Amino acid sequence: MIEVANLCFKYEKGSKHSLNGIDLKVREGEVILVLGPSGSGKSTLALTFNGLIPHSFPGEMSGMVHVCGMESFKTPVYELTQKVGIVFQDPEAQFVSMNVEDEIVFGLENLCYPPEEMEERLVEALSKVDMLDYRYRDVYSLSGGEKQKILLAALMAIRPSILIFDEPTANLDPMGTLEFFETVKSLKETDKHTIILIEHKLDDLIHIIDRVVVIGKEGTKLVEGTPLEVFDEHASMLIQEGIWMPQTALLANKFKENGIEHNDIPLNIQEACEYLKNFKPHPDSLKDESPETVTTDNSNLAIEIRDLSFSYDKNKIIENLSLKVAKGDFLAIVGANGAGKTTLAKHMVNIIHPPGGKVFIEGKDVLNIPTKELSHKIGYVFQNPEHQFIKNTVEEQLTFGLELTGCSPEEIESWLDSTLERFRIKPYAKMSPYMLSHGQKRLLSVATMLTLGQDILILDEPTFGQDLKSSRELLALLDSLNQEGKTIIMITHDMTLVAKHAKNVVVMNAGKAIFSGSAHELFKNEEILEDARLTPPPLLKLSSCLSKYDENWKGLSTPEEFVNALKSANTLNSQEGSP
Amino acid sequence: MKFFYYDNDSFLNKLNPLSKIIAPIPIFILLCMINDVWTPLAFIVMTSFIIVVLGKVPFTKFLKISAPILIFSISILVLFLFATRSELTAGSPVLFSIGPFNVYQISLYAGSAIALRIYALLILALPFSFTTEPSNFIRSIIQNLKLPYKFSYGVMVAFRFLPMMETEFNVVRSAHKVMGIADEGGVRSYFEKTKRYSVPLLVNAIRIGERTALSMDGRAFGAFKERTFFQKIQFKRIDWIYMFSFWAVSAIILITLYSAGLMGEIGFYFGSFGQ
Repeated sequence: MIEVANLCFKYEKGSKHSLNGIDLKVREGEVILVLGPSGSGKSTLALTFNGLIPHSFPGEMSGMVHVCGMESFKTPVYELTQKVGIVFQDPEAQFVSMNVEDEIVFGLENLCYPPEEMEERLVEALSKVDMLDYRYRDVYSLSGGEKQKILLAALMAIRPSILIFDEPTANLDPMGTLEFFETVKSLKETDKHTIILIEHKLDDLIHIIDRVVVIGKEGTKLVEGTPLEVFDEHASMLIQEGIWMPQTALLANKFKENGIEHNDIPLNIQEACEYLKNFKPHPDSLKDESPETVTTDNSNLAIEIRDLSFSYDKNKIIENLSLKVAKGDFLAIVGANGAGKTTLAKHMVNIIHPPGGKVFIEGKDVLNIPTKELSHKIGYVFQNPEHQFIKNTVEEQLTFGLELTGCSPEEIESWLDSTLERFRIKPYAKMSPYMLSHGQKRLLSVATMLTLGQDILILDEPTFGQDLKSSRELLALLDSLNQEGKTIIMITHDMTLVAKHAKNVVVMNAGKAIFSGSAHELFKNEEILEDARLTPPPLLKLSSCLSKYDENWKGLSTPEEFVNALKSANTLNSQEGSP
Repeated sequence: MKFFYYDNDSFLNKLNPLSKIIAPIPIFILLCMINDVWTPLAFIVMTSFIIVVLGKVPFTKFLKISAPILIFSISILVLFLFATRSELTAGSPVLFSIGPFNVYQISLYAGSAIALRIYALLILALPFSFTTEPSNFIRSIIQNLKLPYKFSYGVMVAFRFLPMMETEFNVVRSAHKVMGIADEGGVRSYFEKTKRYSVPLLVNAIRIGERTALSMDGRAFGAFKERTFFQKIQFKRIDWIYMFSFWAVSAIILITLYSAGLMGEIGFYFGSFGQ
C-alpha cells in the first residue's frame, strides 16, 4: 500500500532534518504503530503519505513515497487524500462546519459527488463509527471523544484505504480515549483497513498491532519489528530514549533487572496475568504505604474549602464541596472532563471569586488576601504554558517577579543561576520562551511559578501533550519539590501518574467530591472509579485480574510494587522453589 | 451569531436566507425617509408579527434580544428632548422645564419619530438573524450569488474561531492575574497589556488555523474549481411568496397611512433645513 524509500525532509533550508533516510513498507490490512519522542518527525511522516508534504508545505524533500501505486510527488493532493485519511490531535481545530451532517459531507462536496451518493455515504460513515443518531447534532454539543469519531466518519465518507491516526486521543479524557479506541478496534475487525497509529498509552490497543516502527530524535528509523521483538529486545533502548512501552512490558523489564525470571514479555494484561498467576506475592508488600493522617489541626492546612458551590448558566459546576489540603501534601484531583476540577482549582486562587467564608489559604479567607500576596503564596501553572509567557527571553521570564519585589541584583543573579540549572534550561536562557520544546516550556512555566517562593503549587494537567521523557522529568521535579515541603496540587487524567506520585486523591464527579483519600484506597474501590468515568492504570487491572488467584495481589499499581511483592515473596518461599 | 439563531421548523427557517435579506431592503430605504411616528410603528408591529408568528420565536426571547435596541432608541429620544435644533423648537409650546432646559412639544415629536425609525430599522434585520443558521447563509451566498467557495469557507471558519478566541482570551487574562500582574490603567500599561495578551493569542490562533487548514486540505478542499452541495439552497416557491407578500402588506400599510395623512413629510431630515 505504502512504500517509502530513503525519505528525507526538512521544513527549512539549513535546519535539521525532520525525517532522515526513512525506509518503510506497509502492506494492505496491516496495523502499524509509530513511536518516537515528541519532535521526532512522526507527524511529518504521516503528512508525506497524504501528499500535504511536499504539496502544501514548503520544505526540502528527497527520496520516494509511493501510495497505492502513485508517486506522491507527481500526484495532486486530492487524489492522495482519497486514499489516505488522517485524524489529527486537536478535535476542536479540525472542524470546518457547525453541525455533524455538514462536516461529514464536506469532503464529498469538495470532490463533487452528487447529493444522492453523499446521502448514502453519509449514513454508511456514521453507522461505521456508531454515531448515526448524531447526524443532526451541533458540533458544540459533542464531547471530545464524539468529535474525534465524527471527524473519523468524515474521512470514512471518502472511503480511504489507509487511515492514519496522529495522536487522536491526546486531548481526550480517559473515557473518551477508551471510546475512541473501541471504534478503532471495530474498524480493524470489520473492514480490514490499513491503519497507521501514532500514539502513546496504547495498553488497550496493543493486541491489534502488527508492527512497531520507532523513530528517533534525529528523524531516523531506530527499530522496526513485531511488538514482541521491539518491546523485548529493545526495551532498554526505548526506556532510555523515553519512548512509550506497554506497562506490562515495562513490568517484565523491571523483573529482569531484579533477577525475576520470565519467558516472553507479556504485552497485555491477559498475557501478564497468565504468567504471574503461578507466583506467590508477599502478603504485606503494600505495608510501607503509610496512610496519610488527615490533619484537623487548622494551623497545618494549606488550603481548606468549606461547603463550596458554584453554578454557571444554571448548571451546577461545583456542589457542596469540602476539602482539606494539609501542608506538604501531594494531592491529585481527578475526574472526567467537565467534572469541575479546573473550576475548583480556580476558586483556590480567586480567579473565580468564591463567596466569603468558603475558601481559606493557610487559614485566611482567600477574599481577604490581596492579589499580590496571594501570588506569593500560590503558584498556578496553566494547562498551556504559553499562556503565562509574558517576557521576551527565558531569563526575563524568570526574573521579572523578583525584580518587582525589589531583590538585589546579586540575589537575583544567583537565584536565576541555580534555577536554570535545576530546571535544565540553562543553554536557552537568552532565547524566547516560545522557541523551547514542549517539555522545556512546561518546565519553564513551573519555574516561573516558583520564583516568589510560593509554597503551594497548583498544576492543571501538567503532562498534557508531553512525551514520556518530559513527563518523567517533570514529575521527578515535582516529587523533589514536594520533599522540600511544598504542597503540590495536580489536576490530571493520568491514573498511572496518580498511582506513582500522589499521596492523596480527590475524585470529582459532576461537581461533587465523591472520594477523598489515598491512591491505594481509591484503587481498591472499583465502584468509585466507574462512577467517575476513570480508567484504572493498566497494572491495577492486572492486579485485580490476579487477585482471583491470590488476595495479596490486590491494589498493586506500579512496577515497583509488583517487584517488591515478588522479591520479598521469593526470599521467603525460596525453599518451596519458584514455579 | 450563534446566540441569535433560534432553531425550529418555522416557516422562516425554511426560507432561503437571501430572501429574508432581500424582502426588507425597499422598506429599509423607505423608512429612512419617513419622518412620522405612525409608519415606523406600523412596521414594528409587522416585523414583530413576522418574528413571533412566522418565525415561531418565543416572545420573551424576542424581547430579550431587542431590549438593547429599545434602550438605544429611548436614549435617542431623551437626547432629542434636550437638544433639538433651535430652528425647529422656535415657536413650539414648552411642555415642561428642568432647570435651565426647556422641553418643547416638537422635540418630543421629533425624538419619538427618530427613535421609532431607528428601532424599526434595526428590528427589520431580526427575522433574518433569528431564523438563519450561519452556515446556511454562507451556503446560500455561494450557491445563489456565485461567490468563490474558497473565500466564503474562509469566512465561515473564521466565525467558528471567534468563540474559541474569546475563551482563549479569558484564559490568558486569568493566567496573568494569578501571576500577580494587575491590569492597571494608563496609556503605557495599555500598550504593555496589549502586547502581553496578543502574543500568546496570536501564536495560538496561527497554530489552530494551520491545523484547520491541514484538516481541510486532507479532505480535498480546493480540489476543483466548483464543488457540489449536499443541501441545495435555491429560490423556491415559498421564497417568492414570502417576498411578494412582504411587499404587498408593506404597500397596503403605506397607502393606508398616506391616504389617512399620517405619513408626514418625506425626506432624510426631520423638518427641512432653513425652514
